[in-house]
Amino acid sequence: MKRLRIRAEKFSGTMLSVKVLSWLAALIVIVLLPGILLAVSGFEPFAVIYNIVSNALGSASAIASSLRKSAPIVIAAVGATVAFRCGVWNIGIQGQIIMGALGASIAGLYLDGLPRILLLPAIFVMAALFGGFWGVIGGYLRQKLHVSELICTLLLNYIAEYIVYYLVRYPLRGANAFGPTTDTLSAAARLPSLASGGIWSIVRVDIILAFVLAALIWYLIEATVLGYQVRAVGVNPPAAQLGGVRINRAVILVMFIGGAIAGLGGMSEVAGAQGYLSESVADNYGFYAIAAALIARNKPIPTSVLALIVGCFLTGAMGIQATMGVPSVLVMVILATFLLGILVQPAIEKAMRKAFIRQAAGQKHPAEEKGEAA
Amino acid sequence: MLWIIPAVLNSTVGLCFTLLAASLGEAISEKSGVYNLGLEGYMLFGAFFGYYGSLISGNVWVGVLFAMMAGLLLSLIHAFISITLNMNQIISGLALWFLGMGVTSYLSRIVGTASVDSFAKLDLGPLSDIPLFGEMLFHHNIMVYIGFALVAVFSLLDRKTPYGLINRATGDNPLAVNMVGIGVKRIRYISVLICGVMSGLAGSYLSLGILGSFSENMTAGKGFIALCVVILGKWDPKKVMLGALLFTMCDAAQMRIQATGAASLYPFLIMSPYVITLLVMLIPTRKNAPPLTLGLSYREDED
Repeated sequence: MKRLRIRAEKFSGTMLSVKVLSWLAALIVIVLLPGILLAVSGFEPFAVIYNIVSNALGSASAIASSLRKSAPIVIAAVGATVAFRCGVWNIGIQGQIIMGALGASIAGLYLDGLPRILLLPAIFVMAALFGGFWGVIGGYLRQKLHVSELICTLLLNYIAEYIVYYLVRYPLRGANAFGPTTDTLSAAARLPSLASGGIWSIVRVDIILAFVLAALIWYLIEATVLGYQVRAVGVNPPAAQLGGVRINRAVILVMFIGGAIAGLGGMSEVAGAQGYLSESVADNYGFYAIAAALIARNKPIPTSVLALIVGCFLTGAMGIQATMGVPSVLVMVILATFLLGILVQPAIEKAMRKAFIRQAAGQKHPAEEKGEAA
Repeated sequence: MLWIIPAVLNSTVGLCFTLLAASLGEAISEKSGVYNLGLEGYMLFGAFFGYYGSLISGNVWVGVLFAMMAGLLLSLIHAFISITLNMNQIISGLALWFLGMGVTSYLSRIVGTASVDSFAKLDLGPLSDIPLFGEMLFHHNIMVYIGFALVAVFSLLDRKTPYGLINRATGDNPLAVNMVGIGVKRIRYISVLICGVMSGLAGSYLSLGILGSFSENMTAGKGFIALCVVILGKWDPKKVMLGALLFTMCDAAQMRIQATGAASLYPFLIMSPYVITLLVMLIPTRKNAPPLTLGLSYREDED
C-alpha cells in the first residue's frame, strides 16, 4: 500500500522539483568547465560573460551585427535537424554551407545584370541545389552502398573546403579582390533589409527566412505524411519499412532538404554578411549548427532560438577577442559542455528520482536492494 | 616521377605512427562494442597537451605523458556517458570532438605556438647505410618502432590473452559474457580507456613527432580517417596496420608532389587523402562484419 501511494505521488508536483533540481545540477556541470578554463587562463569569468552580452546586444549596431552573424547559423541548424530526426547523422552541414555559398556566388557573379526580381530567386535556387546535391551524396552512399553517412559527410566537408580553396584562387578569383576571394557581389545580388532606414533596417531578410524555414520544417516534420514517415524511420527503421515507408526515398530526401537548407545558410553569408566567397566562408558555422540542433533535441523551433543565441554569443565573443584577448572559440567549448550536460541530465534526474522515492518510502524495497547489490 | 618513390616510402614509415596508434586503440574499443567518434577530439587533446608538456618541461617524454593523460581524461568522460549512463555514443562522441576542438584552439591561442623539443632520429650506425632500405627502415625516431611493436602487442592482446577473448565476446554477445560472471561494463571501460591513451599518444606524434609545434585543428580529420582504417582493417591489428600504412602513403605522396609541383595543384593534392578515403569506403567488402553490438549500450544491473 505504502509503495502504491508513493507511485501516485510520483506524478504529482514533487517530481517536478526533482526535474528542476536535476537541471540545476546539470547546469553546474555545464558552467563549471568554461568557467575553470577562463579562470585558469587569467580572465574574470563574470566580466567576460558581461562583456560578451553587452558586445552582442548592447546597442542597435551590436544587435544588427548579432542578427547578421546569427542568420547562417540559424538556417544551417534548422537544416541539421531534418536529417537527425530521420536518424541520419548528417555531420556534413559545414560542407553543405560551403557548397551553398559557392552556388550562390556563381549565380550572383554570372547572372549579374538580370533584374533583381529574377536574380535573387536564382541565387536562392542555386544555393539550395548546390547544398542539396552535396547532402544527397551522403544519403545515396548510405542507402545504396552501406557507407557510414557520418564518416562520408565528414570527408565531404574537407573536399568542399578545398574545392572552394581552389576556385577562389584560380577560376573565380576576382579581378578587383585583394585576397584570394571572388569579387564582391553587386548591390542587386545582395539580400535586402526590411527597410532602408529606421529601426527595421537592422533586420535583413535572411534572419526572417531562417525563422520561416524553422516553422516550415516544424510543419513538415510534425504535421505531414512525409514528416511522419521521416520520424518513423528515425525511431525504428524495420518497423517503418513494414509499415510501407520507402526508406531509401525518405533518407535521400531528408539529406537533400537538410543540405539545401544548409546551402541557404551559405547563401546568407555570401549574399548577406560578407558579399563575396572565400575559403573560410563557413568559419565553424556547421559545427555550431550541429551542436545547437543536438542540444535542442532536434526540434526545429527551439533549435532556431538556440542557434540565434549561439550567433549572438559568437558576435559578442568576437568583440571581446579584440578588446580583452579572450579567444572566441570559447563559444565552442561552452556548446560542447552544454551538449555533455544535456546528455547527462536524464541520468541525474533518474538517480535523483530513485533516491527521492527511496527516501519517501523510508525503507528499501527488497527488489531495489537486490538491484543495488548487483 | 619515379624518383620520388623511395622518399615517399621513407616518409610513410616515418609518419604512420599517428594513424596506426589511433586505429589500433579504436579497433580494441570497437571490438568491445563502443564506438569512439570523439577520436578526433582525443587526438587534438593529445597533440596540444603533448606540445604543452614538452613546452613547460623541455622534455619530450613529459609531453608524451601529458598527451596520454589528456586522451585518457576525454575517453573517461566518453566511457562514463556511454557505458555507465547508457547514453547515445554518437552524440557523446560528437560532443567530445567539439570539446577537443574548442579547448585546444582556445588554449593554443592563450599559450601561443612556440617550437618545442621533439623526438630525435635514432642513429643506428651502419644499419642506416644499407642501400635503399637503410634510410627507409632504420633512420627514424623511436616512436616509429614503438608503433610497430604496438601492432605486435595488440595482436597478441587480441588473440592470445583472456582479455582479448573476453573483449571480442563483449562486443558480439555481452549477455553471454555477463552470464559467465564477467562485468561487461568493466571490460568496456578498460577498452575505451586503452583507446583514449592510444589516441592521446597518436595526437602527441602530430605535434612532437615531426613539427615540434601545435597548430589549431592540426588533426585535420585524421581521427575520422582512423575510423575508416579500422573498418578497412576489419578490426584486426595486423590488417589495421596495412590500412594505416596505405592511408599514410597517400598522404606522404601528396606531400612529396606538393614540394615539386605547381601551386595550382596544391588544393587537389591536399584534398586527395579525403577523396581516396571516401573511394576506399565505397569498395564493397564481404565478411566485413563489425562487432554485433557496436554502438549499443548494455544494461546489466537493471530490472
